[in-house]
Amino acid sequence: MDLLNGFYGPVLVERAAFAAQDEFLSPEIKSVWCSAAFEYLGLLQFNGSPHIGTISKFVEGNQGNLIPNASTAKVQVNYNVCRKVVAHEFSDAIALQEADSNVPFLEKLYGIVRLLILGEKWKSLDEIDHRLDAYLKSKEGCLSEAEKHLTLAVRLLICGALYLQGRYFDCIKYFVTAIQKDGAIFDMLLLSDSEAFFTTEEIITMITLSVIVSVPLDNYEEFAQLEELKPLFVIAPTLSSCLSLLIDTSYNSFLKLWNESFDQKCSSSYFLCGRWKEVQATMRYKIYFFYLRISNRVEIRYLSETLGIDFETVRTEINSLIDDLTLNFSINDQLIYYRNRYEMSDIVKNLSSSKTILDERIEKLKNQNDLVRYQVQQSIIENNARLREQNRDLDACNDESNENLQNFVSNSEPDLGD
Amino acid sequence: MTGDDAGYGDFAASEDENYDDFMASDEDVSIEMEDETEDEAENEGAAENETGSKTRQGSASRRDDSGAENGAGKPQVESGAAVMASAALQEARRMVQEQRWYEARSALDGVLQSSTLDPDRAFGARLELVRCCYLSWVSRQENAAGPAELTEHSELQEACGHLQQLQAYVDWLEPEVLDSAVSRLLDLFAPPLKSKLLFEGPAASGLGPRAAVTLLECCAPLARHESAQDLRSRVLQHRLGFNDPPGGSQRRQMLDELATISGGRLDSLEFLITTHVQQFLADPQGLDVPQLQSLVSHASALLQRSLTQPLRLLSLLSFCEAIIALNNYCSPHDHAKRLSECQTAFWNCYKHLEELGDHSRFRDLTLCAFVLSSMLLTGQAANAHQAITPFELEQIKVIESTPLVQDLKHIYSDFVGYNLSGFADSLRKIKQFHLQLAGLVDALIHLLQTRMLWNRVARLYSCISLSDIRAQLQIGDSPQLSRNDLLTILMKSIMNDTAQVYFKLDLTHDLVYFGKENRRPLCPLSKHLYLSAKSDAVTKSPNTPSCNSLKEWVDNIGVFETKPRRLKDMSAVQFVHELQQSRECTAVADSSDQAKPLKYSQLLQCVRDALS
Repeated sequence: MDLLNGFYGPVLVERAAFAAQDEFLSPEIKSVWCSAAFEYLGLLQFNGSPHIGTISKFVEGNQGNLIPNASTAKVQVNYNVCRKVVAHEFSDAIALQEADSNVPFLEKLYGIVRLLILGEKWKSLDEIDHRLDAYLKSKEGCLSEAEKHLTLAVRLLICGALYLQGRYFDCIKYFVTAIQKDGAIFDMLLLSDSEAFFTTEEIITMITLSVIVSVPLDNYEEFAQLEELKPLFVIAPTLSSCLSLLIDTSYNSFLKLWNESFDQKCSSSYFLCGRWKEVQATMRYKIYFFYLRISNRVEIRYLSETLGIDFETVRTEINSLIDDLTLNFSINDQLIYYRNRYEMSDIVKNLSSSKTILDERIEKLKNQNDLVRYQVQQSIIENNARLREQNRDLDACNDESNENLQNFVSNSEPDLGD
Repeated sequence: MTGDDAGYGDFAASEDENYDDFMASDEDVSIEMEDETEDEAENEGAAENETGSKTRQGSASRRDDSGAENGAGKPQVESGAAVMASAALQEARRMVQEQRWYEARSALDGVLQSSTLDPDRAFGARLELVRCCYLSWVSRQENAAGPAELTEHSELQEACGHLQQLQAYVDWLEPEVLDSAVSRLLDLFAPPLKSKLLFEGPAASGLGPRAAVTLLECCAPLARHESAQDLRSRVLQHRLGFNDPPGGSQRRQMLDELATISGGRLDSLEFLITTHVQQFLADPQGLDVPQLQSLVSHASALLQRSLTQPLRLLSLLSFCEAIIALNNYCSPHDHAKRLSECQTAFWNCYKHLEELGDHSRFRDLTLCAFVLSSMLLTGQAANAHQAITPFELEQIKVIESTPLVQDLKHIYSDFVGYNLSGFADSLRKIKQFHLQLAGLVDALIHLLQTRMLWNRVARLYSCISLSDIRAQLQIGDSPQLSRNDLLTILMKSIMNDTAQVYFKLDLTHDLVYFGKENRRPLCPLSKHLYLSAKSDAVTKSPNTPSCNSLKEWVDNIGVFETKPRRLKDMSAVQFVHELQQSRECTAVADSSDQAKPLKYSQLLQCVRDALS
C-alpha cells in the first residue's frame, strides 16, 4: 500500500484514474490504485465520478457496482465537498468549503487551494496568497506550530499551482519569496506528508524544472551561487548537477541527464505529466537559440550530433524557431545561416519588384486607357459619322419636314413654329 | 605537641615530594612535548621544579582527605619510617636523573624491601623503578647503532615486570594518583606523536613502535576509563605512525577507531590531521575530504577553548583549510570565493611555518601554493593591474634570493608576459609540487590560455580557424587544448559576459570571426512589436496559444534579452527581482539601423497589400 504514497480523498480518485490509463503500469499496480479509489468512493457512497468506468475496470470482484459501506453511516460535511470534487463540480465544492464555518481559517484555505488546483481555477488561486498574507498580518506572527506548518503547506501548493499553469518564472519567484518569509519551507521539502496532495518529490521536481526553464542560460552560474538556496541544492541534487552541466555548456550531457532523471518521473505523475513536454521543448529551443546567438553558420546535422537530438526534431524545431520569431536566419537544406530579414538591399529589391508591379499596373492602366481612349475616339468618330449621316438624312428629312412643317405651320397656329 | 607538629610537617613535606613523582601535571607534559626526546630525564627534573609549587597545593588538599580517612594517630606512628623512605626515594630519583642506573635501581629495591612502607610510597618507588629501567634502556639504545630488538633487552623486560607488579596497588590508591601515574607513564613510553612525523620526519622517535606498544600493553591493567582511552589512542598513534601495519583495511579500521576515541584529545586529532596531510602529500586524489573537514572543525573548536596556540597545529589547520578549498575548487559553486579562501589559508599556513622557523619541503609547497593561487586570483580579477603581486609582500621579499622564489618569479613573469613556452619551462622547475598542486597548475594553465585567447589572438585576427587558435594556445608539451575545450571557453565567455572581443562562430568551417562588426541583431522585431503582432494573430484565430504563455515562452528562451545581466553577490530575492525586471523591460529602444529597414519593410508590405 505504500505505493499509494498516502494519497487519500478526491486526489486519490484522480491519481487512480490517471494510473489506470498509464500504459507502462502493470495491471496489478493499477488494481491496487483503483481498488483504493473504489473503496474511497464506497466510503463516500457516491458513484458520480466521471472516472468511475475507468476505475471499476481494474477493481477485482465487483464490476462497477458500489457497495455502500455499512460502517460509514455517519456522513460528515466534508463528504459533501468531496462528492462534489469527485464529480468534478468544483465551483459547488468550493462554495461548500467556503461556507463551512467549523473549519479554522488556514485549514479551510488549505482545502480550498487543493480544490482550486484540481479544478484548475487559476484566477481565484492568485487571490489565495493575498488572503493568506492578510491573515498572517492580522495574526502578527502569533502562530501555533500546526498553523505555521499549514502556512508553508499552502505556499508550496501555490508554488506547484504556478508550475501547473506554465508560469515557471513566477513559480521560482514565489518560492524564493516564500524562503525569505520562512526558511523552514526547506524542512517541508524533506517531510513526506501523511495525506499527500503533491508529493514532496513532485514539488521538488516542479521547482527544479521551473529553475532550469526560466533562469537565463547566462545566469545559471549566479543562481547556483545564491547563498539562501544552498539547502535547495542539497535537497535537489539533480538540480545541482543539471546546473553544473549547463554552466559548463555541456548541453549534450545535460539533455541526457535531464531526460533520464525526469522523463519517467514526469510521465508517470498525474500532476507533472501535463507540462513536461512543453518544458522539454522550451529547453531545446533555449539551447538552439544559444547556438544561433554565437554562430553565423551552423549545420542542422552538427546541432543534431552535438546536442544528441534527433535530426528531424532539430530541423522542424529550428525552422519553427526562426519562422515564429522572425529571426534573422535562413535555412538552406542543411545550412542555417545568418541573413538579415530586413536588409536595405532587400528593400531595394523589393522596391524594384514593387516598381515592376506598379509599372505593369501602369502599363495595363495605360493600355486600358488607350483602349478606352481609342474606343472613345472610335465612338466619337462613329458618332460623328453617324451624326453626319443623320444630318444628311436629317437635311433631306429636314427639307421634307420643313416642307411638312411649313405645311403644318401653315395648317396650325403660327406661335409653335418658333 | 611540637614533636607531633614537626612530625606532621615532615610527613606533609615528604608526602609532597612523593606526590610530585606521581603528579604528571599538564604543563610537564606539554613542555616535554615541545622539547626533543633526548635528555628526557633532565627535562623532567626541571619541569618538576617549575611545577612543584603548583602541585604542592593539590597535594595539600589531598593530605587533609587522607588524614581524615586514616585517622589522626597514623601519621605520627609512621613518621620515622616515612621520612627515611622518602629521603631514599628522593635520593634514588636524583640518581636516575644523573643516569646512575644501577645505583638507582638498588636504592629503589632497598626502599621496596622496607616492611613498613605504605602503599602510596611503595607504588611511587616501583614507578621510579620502571622509569629507571626504561630510561637506562633508552640511553643504551641511543648509544647503540643497530635497530632496537626487544627480546635482547632485559631492562625492558624488567620494566614490564615492575609494571605488572604495580597492579597490586591499584585497589589501594586514590583514583587520581593512579590516573596521573598512568598518564605520566604514557608520556614516558609513547609521547603523543601529534605532527612530529611530518615536521621532524620518521626519525622523530627512533625507538620504534614495538617497544612502546609492548610497554603500553603492560600499563593496560592500570588504566581505567579516560586513561584507558588515552592508552588506546597512544597505541594506535604509534602503530599508525610507524606504519604497523603498513596499509590495507586494518589500517583504515585503526584510523577510524582513533577518530572515534579522539573526541576531546587535541593531540590525537593533531595526529590524525597529520596523517591526512601526509596522505595528501603522497596521493592528493586519495584525500578523504569530509573526514578531514570534520577533524579540522573539531580541532579548531577545541583550539579556541585552549589557552595555548601550538604553531604546528595552527599551520596544519590552515593547510587543511586550503586543501579542502582546493578540492572544492572544481565545483561550480563559489569558484572565486573558494579560490580566495584557499589563498588566504595557504598564506596563514606559511606565516605559521615561518614563525616556527620551519624550512622543510612542506613550507616550500605552501609558499608555492600561495603564489600560484594569488596569480589565479589576480588574473581572474577585473582590476588585475591594481593588485599586489605576492612578491611585493614583506615576508616573501626577505627570501627573494632563494631558488624557489626565483623560480616562482619566473613563472609569474612568463604568465603576465604571455610567454607560453617560457611558462611551460618555468612550471617544470616546480615539478616536485605538481602532484599536490595539480588543481592550481591546471587552473593556471587554463587561465593563461584564456588570457592569451582574448588579449592576443582575438585582438590580432579578424578571422581564424579553431585549430589555429588551439595551436597558438599550446603551452609547452602539455596536452593540447581540445576543440571542445576551446568552444567551451568561447561559449562560457558569452554566458559570463567575459568575452573581451565580440565574436561569431562559423561552425560549418570551424572559424571564429572576431570584432564588433559581427554583432548583428538576431531578431528584427522588438519584444513589444513581436508580442503585439502575435496578439493580433491570437484575436484572429483562437487556436494559437494565449499571449501570456507566449510571453513566458520567449522570456524563457531569452530571445529578446538585450544584454546579459550580471547578477553577482545578490540575495535570492534581489536576483529574482532583477530577472523580473529584465523580463518586463519592454521599452528597449530599437537600434536605429535595425529599425529603419524594418519600418521600410513594413511600409513596403503595406504597399504590397494595397497593390494585391
